[in-house]
Amino acid sequence: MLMTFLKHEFFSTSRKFGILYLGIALLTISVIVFDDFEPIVATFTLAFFACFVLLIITIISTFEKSIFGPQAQLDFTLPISTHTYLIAKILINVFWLFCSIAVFVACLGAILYAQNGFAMLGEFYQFFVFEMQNAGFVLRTEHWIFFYASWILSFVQFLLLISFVCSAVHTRYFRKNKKVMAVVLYFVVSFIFNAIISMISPSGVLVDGSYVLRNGDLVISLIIQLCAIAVLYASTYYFLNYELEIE
Amino acid sequence: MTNGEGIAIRGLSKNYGKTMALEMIDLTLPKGKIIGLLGPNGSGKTTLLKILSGLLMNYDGRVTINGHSPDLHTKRIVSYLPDSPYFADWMKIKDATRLFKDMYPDFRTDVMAALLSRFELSPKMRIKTMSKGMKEKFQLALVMSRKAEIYLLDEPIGGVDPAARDVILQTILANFNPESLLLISTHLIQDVEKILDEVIFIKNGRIVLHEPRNSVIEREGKSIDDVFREVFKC
Repeated sequence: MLMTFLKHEFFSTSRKFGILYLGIALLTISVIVFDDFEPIVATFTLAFFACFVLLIITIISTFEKSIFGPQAQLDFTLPISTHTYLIAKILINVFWLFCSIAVFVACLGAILYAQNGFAMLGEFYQFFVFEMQNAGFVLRTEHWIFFYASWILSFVQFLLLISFVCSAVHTRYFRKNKKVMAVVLYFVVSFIFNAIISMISPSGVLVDGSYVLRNGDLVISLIIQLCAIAVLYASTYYFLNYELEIE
Repeated sequence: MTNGEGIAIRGLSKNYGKTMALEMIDLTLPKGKIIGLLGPNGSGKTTLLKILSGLLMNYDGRVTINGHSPDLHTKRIVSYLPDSPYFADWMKIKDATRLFKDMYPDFRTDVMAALLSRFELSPKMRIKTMSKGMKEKFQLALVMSRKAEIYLLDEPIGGVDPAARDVILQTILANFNPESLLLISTHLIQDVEKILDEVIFIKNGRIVLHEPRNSVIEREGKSIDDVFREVFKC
């Protein structure tokens, strides 16, 4: 049933992302056609933020419609378990996140290639590596793996937080102003989680004036993230399974 | 009712804050019958159907469908028609049909095609271009195309003209599986009373009458619609 529901979720969301990617592709083509390097950085910075913001809006709107809108009556009467519902929502959004990154990288690569061939791509990669090193990342292979794993887990944590908030306000504990309460609850829970995580996460060791995380510290950070995800998943599951009120 | 078949409700209460939507409801609804859940707006009909369909999980009392509390198992055997459109506007009729076909093993594609034809609806129609009446017919076609054990229909004729109501009621009757239970909620009594086996009157969240339709008519000497007007007069 997971695959069936995933298929339904894919068709439900693909139109929005299709339009978004078409817009970015058109922007890329116009940058290439006008052949003016100066606005490239500005345009792409703008496009990156637009892409990111639209992705977040689409994710929130997917959860919001699924629980707040009339569509909730469809989703929650389908013969799927709460686990299937939650896992499908997470998987489809992670899929779109990867697609968005792939589209962005492809478009950026196309512009840089059109500007000065492969040399430009190499220069940009060196610039990227330099910036990452400045940000304190030691570019050893295992660190990159930790970095990407942490990044994906942060995204899943964000998805679950949205799902948790949407389901929590559809219980007997929140009768009025549900959407406003959802926004307030999001920031409150987010603040509490971040405070706890920053308190218990390792800060690393001081090397040459800056803190560097060791492999062990990175593993502990990932475990803490996984614990946060487990807490959010269990709470959301509880609300959806035992307290839900689709009015 | 044998072996927990059908719906059994014991001491069901549901409140929304200080508002009591349902109060100490006891009902036994056996299979093989069409039962009308009749009451004015705000009497608790939709709340009861939402509890049975698994959309309201927090309530007091005990509710079982074929011996199970509303859960994944009951969602497989219950075909629920809500009182408002519940498909996304971007979908076409064929998209919704595909979803039901994928999700429910008891979905009958041939019945769906016949019902769409009867309602003069094309599978290529997009939901956002359909009128309210067309949406109700389309959703009813989907719900009745399942060979479910329990049908829960919430105001299936609430938004359509009198001529369409007859078509819808004929459709419900023609596609009703005699081994299943059909619970139909409405406040348009005159239109539905002729298809009912039993009637339930619900007022302010309480059951005030639950009897076979014929015995009510014989005892009162008037139609269900007239009895309803008497019971619920302001």
